[in-house]
Amino acid sequence: MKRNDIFRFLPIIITSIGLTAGCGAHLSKVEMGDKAVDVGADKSGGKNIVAVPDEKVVTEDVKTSGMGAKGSAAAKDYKSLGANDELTKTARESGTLYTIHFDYDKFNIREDDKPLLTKNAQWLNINPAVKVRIEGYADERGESEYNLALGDKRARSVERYLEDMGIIKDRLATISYGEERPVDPGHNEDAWAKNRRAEFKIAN
Amino acid sequence: MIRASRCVPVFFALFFLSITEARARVYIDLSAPSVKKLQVAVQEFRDVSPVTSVDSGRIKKELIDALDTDLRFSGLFTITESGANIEDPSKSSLEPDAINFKNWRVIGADTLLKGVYSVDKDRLTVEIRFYDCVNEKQVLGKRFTGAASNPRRLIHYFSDHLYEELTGRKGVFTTKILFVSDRSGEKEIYMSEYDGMNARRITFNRSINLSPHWSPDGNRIVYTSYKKGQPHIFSLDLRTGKDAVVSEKAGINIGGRFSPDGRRLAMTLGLGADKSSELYLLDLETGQYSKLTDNYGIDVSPSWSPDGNKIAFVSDISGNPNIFVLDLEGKSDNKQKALKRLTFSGKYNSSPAWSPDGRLIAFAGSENGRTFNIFVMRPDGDGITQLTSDGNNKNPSWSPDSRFIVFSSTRKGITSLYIMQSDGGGLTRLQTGVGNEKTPAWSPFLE
Repeated sequence: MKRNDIFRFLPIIITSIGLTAGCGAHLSKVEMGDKAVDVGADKSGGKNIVAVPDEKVVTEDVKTSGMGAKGSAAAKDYKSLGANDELTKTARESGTLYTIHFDYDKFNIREDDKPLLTKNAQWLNINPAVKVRIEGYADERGESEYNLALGDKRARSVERYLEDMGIIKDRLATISYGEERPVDPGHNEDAWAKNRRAEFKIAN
Repeated sequence: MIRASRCVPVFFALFFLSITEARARVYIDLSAPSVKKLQVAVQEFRDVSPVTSVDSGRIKKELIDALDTDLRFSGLFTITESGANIEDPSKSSLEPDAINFKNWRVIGADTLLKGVYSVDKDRLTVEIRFYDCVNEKQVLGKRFTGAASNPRRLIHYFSDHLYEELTGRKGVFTTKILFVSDRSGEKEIYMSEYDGMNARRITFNRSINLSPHWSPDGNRIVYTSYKKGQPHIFSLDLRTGKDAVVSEKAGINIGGRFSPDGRRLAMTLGLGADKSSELYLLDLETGQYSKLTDNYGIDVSPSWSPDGNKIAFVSDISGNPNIFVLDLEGKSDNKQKALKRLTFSGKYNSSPAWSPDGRLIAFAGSENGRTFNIFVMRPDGDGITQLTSDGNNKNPSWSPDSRFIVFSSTRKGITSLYIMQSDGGGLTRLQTGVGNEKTPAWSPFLE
């Protein structure tokens, strides 16, 4: 990499370091086209991170970690549901709303989660510019394709619930990750219960 | 079953009289209830390179190791352990006339393998002969040339020839296995040889990559990937490296499987308009989708019957995941009649895999929804037989000759790939060196 290239990319690097600091995004591997280049063992003290030729890739790293840091200036202006409103705090800090959970091999909304979904819907009502992505997940048991379809059903079940509460469909998107990306990597009932979930990610 | 040795001369005579006839006449009848193994001695291979390369020792070791793997895997041979040095390898000849077969018979070897190899820069030539020690004749002699970086591959080619010579059937030694591992940080697709060796990563997109499957000609694979955000189905041409999107409908596009004629792809789509995920067929020539299922349940993991007329799949319309079979021919007449449920016991039945010979469907089933085992059943759902009992065993995939099943298992802790015979015997762990290997897909016969 030539020296002037380093300067050309420097603003991007600084930006990405700023965005990724403390949010778990890792830059040990950078992407060039469709090939991963390991710079983890680089002896230049990390300077070769500059070798990232594609701004987009670094941006994606931040996005996939789901951090609120990427949120627009409008993020600071979220309307609150009132004093001691945890939800607005969560939205500001992590770009998420309340996560809800499911029973084994089920996609119906549990009674104990309905108040949380109602809160999410109320919050979306007073923040009409916000769009959310509902992510459906399954626990690791069973088969990965079935779990993908199950996560899809869970996400869509939550989407319908919010639509029924008056949130227009244009503000809602769904994605299923199936058994991928568990919040708890354990192989026990506690971990599985945590992983059977639908997350709300603020998408704009 | 092996013919008794006194019958062997007749068979040899036929081989030498007519090469074309030879294919139909076999030494070992694999359809017999039990196969008596041949005793084979393997002579140490000799380096006949004009100039001995620094890699000579490594190459020799890899050649012998691969031959040993193939011979054991074939199920046709018992290797005579003391056979390595009956003759001085540096002086022994490959010509049948110069071999003292009596010495080999004394140590119990019915048959004998000898080989020489030669390295020329990055090219390796291997010549291997297979002899019948009883009749003191050569049965097979082959010479292969290929990359010196992968000596094992040349042995696999030889093993295919040897297997076909002895059984009249194609060998699987040059086939490959696709699988998924998250060892790089995210789930990516890998490909290894049938024995797990020479595993290499073939996707590098750092999203989530799942469900690799082969095209019937073995030239392409399809897989599910999140590299564009939502799960879409992509194809990767293994010869050119060209990667292309196959299905990117809104919602989930997962688990594509080529029809046996390669013209259609069965998959699961989760279109917003559908009540839930449904099975679809995509005509790869016209780009037209047709819907196969229409219910409130989850419908996933299609597996084609080898004649292309039926699809086994997993559905939870019965309450929990079970295996159903859909008759594509009868579909237009009567939807109810076209759909038949195959599994009725256990809590969770998944991953049906129709054997290439059409005789069995393998699947992963669980009594408690946690621990899975591999089963086989007939395509009508009868004759369910459990093949595994140790660890968590999932995602069976058949060898193209229908003799073996590869699957993932946690029996040694970390998830690894294992191969077993279709009756559950001869379990072998694949040493891919990758780790956490899942959802294997065994290739068809490759050119």
